[in-house]
Amino acid sequence: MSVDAGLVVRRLYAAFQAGDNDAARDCFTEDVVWHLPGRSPLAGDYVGFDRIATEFFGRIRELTSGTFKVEVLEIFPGDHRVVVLQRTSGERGGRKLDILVCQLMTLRDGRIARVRGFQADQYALDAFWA
Amino acid sequence: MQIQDFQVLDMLASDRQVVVEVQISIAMPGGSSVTDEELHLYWLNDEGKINRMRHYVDTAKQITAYGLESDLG
Repeated sequence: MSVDAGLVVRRLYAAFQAGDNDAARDCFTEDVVWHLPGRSPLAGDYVGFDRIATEFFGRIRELTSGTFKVEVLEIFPGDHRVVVLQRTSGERGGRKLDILVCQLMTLRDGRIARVRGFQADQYALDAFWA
Repeated sequence: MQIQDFQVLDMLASDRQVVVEVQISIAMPGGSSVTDEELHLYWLNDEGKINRMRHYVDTAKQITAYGLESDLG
């Protein structure tokens, strides 16, 4: 079970990296909620893959002119939860972002149902997107 | 402030690192309280002892709970 959870998350990151939206969609439940904490304009809950893909990731790509990058450093698989430790970086209008992030992913029926980002430096992320 | 509740929800491990998911409730001086999840990331050395720890916390939520938003501009 724990191996499956880790595999789902690895598939998701591979799909994002390849820009394969169909493969990414297959990793999520229909009612998935992606929560970005903080006070930035991007903070909040994104419900469903379409909103995640367009309003969240699409906006991120647009705001950073394609410079936004995620490097997976470690994956911590559990039975129903997986934590991904990643380095997140990008540039936006002369501002640079380079922070560590833990993505806590909760799985239901083998698919990701909830994602919450925990930033090592919430101030830096909020300032970057402000 | 006072910690009202502290619960370990889960622990996830790799070879040399452990992530602990906790839920914490803090009573604020004004009588309000804030409840949130945190991740605590621990690194272990060759002897299996913790030599580094880092909090992953929604500091923005805590700033709001403390009423310190105006101090940040």
